[in-house]
Amino acid sequence: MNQANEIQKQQYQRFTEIFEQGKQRYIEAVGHSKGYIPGVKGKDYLSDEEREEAKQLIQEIFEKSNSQKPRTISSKLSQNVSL
Amino acid sequence: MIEPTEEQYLIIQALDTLELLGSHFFDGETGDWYIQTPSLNLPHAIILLDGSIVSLNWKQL
Repeated sequence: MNQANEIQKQQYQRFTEIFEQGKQRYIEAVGHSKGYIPGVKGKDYLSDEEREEAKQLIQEIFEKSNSQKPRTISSKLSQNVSL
Repeated sequence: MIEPTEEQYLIIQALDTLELLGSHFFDGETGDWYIQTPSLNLPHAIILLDGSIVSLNWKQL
């Protein structure tokens, strides 16, 4: 079983914040959360910066933690990561 | 930029309707759709473009 370190926990918390921010904006604009697709421009009510940050966070969190890496994840980010 | 596939949408919609979908994120760079669910067996997973699901084996976030 993997154990998240403090940095990963903070990264996940920040990711969740961005997720919830977009969700709230979406609900305010549309009236419900159905169809809220974080990561897809036009369906997430996130700025380009927020979307990019969320993507980087989620890639980092899960790439670093996995002993069995999902085959489709690109590994180029791991070069920028030092744990 | 990669767009989500019909297969991915169907799974997301099913989970959402059943209220089993926590935070999630579609990665337009890789096509991976990260999901978090209340399942004890699969709390974090990726839905690949073809609709198959890969466990992230991650339990202590």
